[in-house]
Amino acid sequence: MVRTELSQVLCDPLGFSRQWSREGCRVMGCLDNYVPEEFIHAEEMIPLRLLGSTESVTLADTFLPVFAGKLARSILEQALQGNLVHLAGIVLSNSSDAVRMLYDLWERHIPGQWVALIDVPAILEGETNHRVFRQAMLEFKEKLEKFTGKPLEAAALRRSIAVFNENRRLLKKAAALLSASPPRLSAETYLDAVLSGFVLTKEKHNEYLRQLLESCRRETPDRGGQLVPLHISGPILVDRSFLPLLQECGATMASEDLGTGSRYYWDEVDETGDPIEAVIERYWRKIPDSYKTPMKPRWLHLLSQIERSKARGVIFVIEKYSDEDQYDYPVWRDRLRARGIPSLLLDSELVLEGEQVRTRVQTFVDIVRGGAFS
Amino acid sequence: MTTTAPKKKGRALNSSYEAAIVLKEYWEGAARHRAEGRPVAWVSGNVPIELFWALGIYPVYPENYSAVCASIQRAQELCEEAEERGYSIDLCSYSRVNLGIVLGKGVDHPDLPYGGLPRPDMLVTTRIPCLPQVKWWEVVREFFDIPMFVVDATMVDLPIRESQRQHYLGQIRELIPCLEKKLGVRFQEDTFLETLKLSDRAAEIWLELLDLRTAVPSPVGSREMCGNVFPLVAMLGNPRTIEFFTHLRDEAKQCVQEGKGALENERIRLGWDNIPMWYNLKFFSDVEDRNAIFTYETYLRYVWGGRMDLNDPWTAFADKHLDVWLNYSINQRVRTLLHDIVKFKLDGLVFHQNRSCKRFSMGQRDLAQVIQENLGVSSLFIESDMADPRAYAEAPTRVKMEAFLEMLEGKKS
Ligand code: SF4
Ligand code: SF4
Repeated sequence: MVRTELSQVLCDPLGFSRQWSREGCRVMGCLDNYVPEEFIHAEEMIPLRLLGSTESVTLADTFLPVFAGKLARSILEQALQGNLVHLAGIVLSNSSDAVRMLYDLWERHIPGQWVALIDVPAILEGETNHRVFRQAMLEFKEKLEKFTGKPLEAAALRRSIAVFNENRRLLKKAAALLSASPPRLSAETYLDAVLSGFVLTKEKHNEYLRQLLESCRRETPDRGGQLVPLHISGPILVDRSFLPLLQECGATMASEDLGTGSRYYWDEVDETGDPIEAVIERYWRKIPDSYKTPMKPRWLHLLSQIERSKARGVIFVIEKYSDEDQYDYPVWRDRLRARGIPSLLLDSELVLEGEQVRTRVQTFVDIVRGGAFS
Repeated sequence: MTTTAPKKKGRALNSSYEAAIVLKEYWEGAARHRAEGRPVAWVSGNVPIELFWALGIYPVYPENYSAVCASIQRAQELCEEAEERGYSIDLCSYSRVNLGIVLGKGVDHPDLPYGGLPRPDMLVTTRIPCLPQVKWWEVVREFFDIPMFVVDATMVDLPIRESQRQHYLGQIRELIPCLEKKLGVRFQEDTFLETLKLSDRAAEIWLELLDLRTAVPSPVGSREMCGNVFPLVAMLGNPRTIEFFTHLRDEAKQCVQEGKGALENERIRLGWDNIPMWYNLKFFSDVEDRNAIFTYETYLRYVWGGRMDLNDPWTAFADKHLDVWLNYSINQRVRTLLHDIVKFKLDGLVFHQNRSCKRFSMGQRDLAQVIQENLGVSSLFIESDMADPRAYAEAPTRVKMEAFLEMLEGKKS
């Protein structure tokens, strides 16, 4: 059953990727949404998105203060524990300050592991920044070519783009099923479908997604009818216990604009013209993540998702110490409020703390359901 | 702390008393400029400040204003205003103070220091010191609905790469016409170059002053110097800065020539990393009772006001703005610190783990490790915040500091 396959991948993503390394594949750890995974794929490597773990951080505490955030600390912990040695290398981009510092720490404390920094601007406006963005991407491409010893072939890149674009389209279809009324895909399965894509090869993931969509098409939707549809927003949602909790409180995720969700996969690469330039343009123009400026396209994406899903409220799941998202939140909240859409903020450190979250979510769902919000 | 030696009262340098006057002049100047209908921009640390003075745009520094609020014990209430509006307590406290003002009572509330913050016509910020700075400015833009320009930059290892320099200059070439258009000013290169000269002259004197603090005994400690630094942040290109710094430098020089230190019996020399606790500058002078002096700060040496080779002014202008501590990679910070510890003859380093300023605080453990391994110089970590006093725990910090000084004393004898 494809649903089981998808969720099994997520039980031990690193273990899963270790298997590939044993089989002789090169796995490249990637750290955020500005790593052009198409380049890595076209160079015959498997991009693996690093999403940390919920385990406690001990070794990395020596180098990163708590306020660097759980994600950065946890990834460094995994590396210091030796859990990432099977990776051929690590690629990060100049995203948040924590991730940028992680690059320095990697070079200093994980000697011998190939690590690349894609030094892109944070401001995705203006001619100069565009030029520098493009240049940083090209430099990364060259670094990758040196590493593999093979030039990035246009034909191979075109094939990779096609695979990635198909993946994006399939995920968008999944998102559409999620927000159908009644939903034709459960929120839990949708989340598993998205997250497993960070671990599986894109080809395998596409295969699973096609099977999943096909099975949804055959099944008669039978649940979720009475659940309050909500939109979930934030940089990262990997706590898979959150959606069952939401459901127990009488609500469901009908749409999202997560950094580990639609912000990652929404935009496609133009398949005409020069493939290298097309990939670069895609990352320049994609829905900007919270650590990029301007914020407007991100807001418009959030809004369009809510309109599509008819979500009746928004839950912001924000990583503690992720400053970028913490600054956005009150602005988004007020803009939503002006439109009569209530919202709730939940702090997360890769996990959401059980009981307190339950009480707050329950109260929020009751408010949304009762329409008592003003 | 226990007193073991007589302590010098008041300022070590009389000229330091002038700092408050300069600061007042700056804020009054801003209010006047606004009242006269001339353009005002809100700017942040490490913006190309000289451009503003050259263009007749008054550069208003909300960060400094937040520090001022902290130093008169007003920061907490303003932080709380921002927190009530949903801004996390984990965000930079300068921004919380500012957002507390902007979203709370409003920028020109008479209850605020210097009669309030003049309203901006435009916002200019940069990613050089940190990314949250940009996010903070976006919130401010949301409120005022005025134009904003952000100067991007990537972190550097010295020497600065040509591509990084060109990235910076490219944006400056976009910023100038943007300022001209939005604020109705006109850029004249001559005036700009003159302003650069003034800026560089001020930086030169400031660095001479800092270098005088390599002397044993040191002529002036951190408490006083943190109060003196402000014109280097906001008034580079303004002749008043040169005047003030000259007074400081000359007086310090005189002290050094006469062998006169800020302490009568200087025994331990300390360095400080990160932004000071503005609400608790006393922390620096408290150690003087133990004959210890803070005589070096990464914050005062590498955050603003580097020198420029004006034979190649645009290159120098770019490099100066990129060559700052907060924009250094950890490796660069290590190299710089190793050099300076020897130069300033430091016995110990105090690292302020400043929960507000994450970019400053990440990597500090690496620095401490390296200076211990390479130079045998010990460090102390204190956890706090530059403006929000709630993050400072007086009793345990004092105990730690006492123990640290005792250890350093033990090492000396
Ligand atoms: S959650 Fe925010 S702070 Fe943490 S790594 Fe991602 S972007 Fe950076
Ligand atoms: S976090 Fe640090 S560099 Fe950034 S605005 Fe605050 S004090 Fe300045």
